[in-house]
Amino acid sequence: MSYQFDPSVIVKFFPLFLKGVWLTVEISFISILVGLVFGIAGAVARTSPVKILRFLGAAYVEIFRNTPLLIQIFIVYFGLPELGLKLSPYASGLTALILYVGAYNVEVIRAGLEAVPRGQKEAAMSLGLNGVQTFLHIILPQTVRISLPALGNNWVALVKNSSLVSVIGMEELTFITYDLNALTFRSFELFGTATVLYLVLIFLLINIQTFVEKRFAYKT
Amino acid sequence: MLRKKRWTVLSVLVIVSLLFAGAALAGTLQDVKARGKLLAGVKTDFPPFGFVDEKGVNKGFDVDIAKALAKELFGKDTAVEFVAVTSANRIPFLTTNKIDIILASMTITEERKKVIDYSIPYFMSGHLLLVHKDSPVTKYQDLEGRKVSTTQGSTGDIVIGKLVPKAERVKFQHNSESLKALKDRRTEAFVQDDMLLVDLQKKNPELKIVGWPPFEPAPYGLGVRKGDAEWLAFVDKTLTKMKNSGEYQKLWDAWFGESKDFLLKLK
Repeated sequence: MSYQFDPSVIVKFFPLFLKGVWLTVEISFISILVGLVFGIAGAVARTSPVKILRFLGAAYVEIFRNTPLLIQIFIVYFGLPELGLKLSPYASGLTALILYVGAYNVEVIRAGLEAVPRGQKEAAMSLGLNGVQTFLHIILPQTVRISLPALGNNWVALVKNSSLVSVIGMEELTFITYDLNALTFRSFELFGTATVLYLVLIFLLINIQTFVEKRFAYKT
Repeated sequence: MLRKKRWTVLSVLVIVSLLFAGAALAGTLQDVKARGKLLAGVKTDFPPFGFVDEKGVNKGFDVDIAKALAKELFGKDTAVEFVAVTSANRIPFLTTNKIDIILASMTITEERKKVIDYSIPYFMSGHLLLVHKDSPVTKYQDLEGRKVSTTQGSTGDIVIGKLVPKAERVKFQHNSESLKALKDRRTEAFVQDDMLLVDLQKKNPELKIVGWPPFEPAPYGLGVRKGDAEWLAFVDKTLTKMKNSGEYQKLWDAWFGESKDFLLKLK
């Protein structure tokens, strides 16, 4: 039994791989953007003076951060139809990914919010800005700046976690690889290709994140 | 400088992986005997061939054949460890030495023969369609433009891809998920091997089977690693012995007796 590396399967199926990469990029991108909104909303709720909002924010984080993403995906796709809510694989996968990354973002952004010195808010208020203006113009930009490195971590994890939606028939990179492996059995070539593609994707993402981080950094 | 370092790390990784990929075995028969038990790759989602009962015990026709092999090897049918496999991962499990043999309702195909060796055929199966009682679908040709559940790596998936390329296949890793998608009406049909669907239909009276007679029939075989002649000879010998002694027929009757009128016969 000797192993022969066979690059022809990679060449032959490369267009399919790219199709998978595209869906991975698409769902990751949407989840990152919408997940950011969830993160900010949740963080504001968690630091709100209103008790019920604080409770809801905390409940959201604890539920989605402390359960496996795979179970969340199965609940949305296979469980909810029994309650009458039938989402497509695409909508189910995205919902689960967004809720999951959102929960992680809440904690990161909350830490960012709390790291903005109190004096900033007091100064803004004394200059005559109202609560919303203070939050949008003074607090939020500083929060984003502080949270960006940790958010980047969440994004990297999200791109890797997006592979889990392959179990509900979403034909992203992992699904395509798994499917081709079931047909051709060239495991090393196929999973190797997927590894390289994920590496490239995440390498690009980290570079984008670093670029944004630098743009927002304090100028000294 | 940093770039150079990156390349070094990458090359080391590639070389190490290639070494592992090339690791070879002496012969499965000796390995199994030395280990004292058989590692059998069986399904857990494919009644009546391989499934798990309420107590979590592996059951089924394939499971019983694995026990018979263990009995032949060690004189007791308990010297076997069942490893759960799916249609998609059973061949990689075998080729990477995680199991000694595939007993997983596996159809013999030319594509698979390039990668593994097959025992003599031990079951004959074709494909059918599982649909809702109110479905207008009566044959596989009707699937054009409709959503169909298939299981990744199954011949059902391959056959529909070939016969009805315009059908929209929604693929899952397990038969249980393919079935659930049909039950939730996410798909309009589930295409798989005849015997499995007959079994699933019995448990789900809101569904019916169409597409008779079973199309694209092909025999099942047990799978062993390519070129492992001694092990394959042992497996074939045991199967032949079971057929001659009537043990095979006894198992067949026990698992498929109720369905004997429509099951395809092994030549």
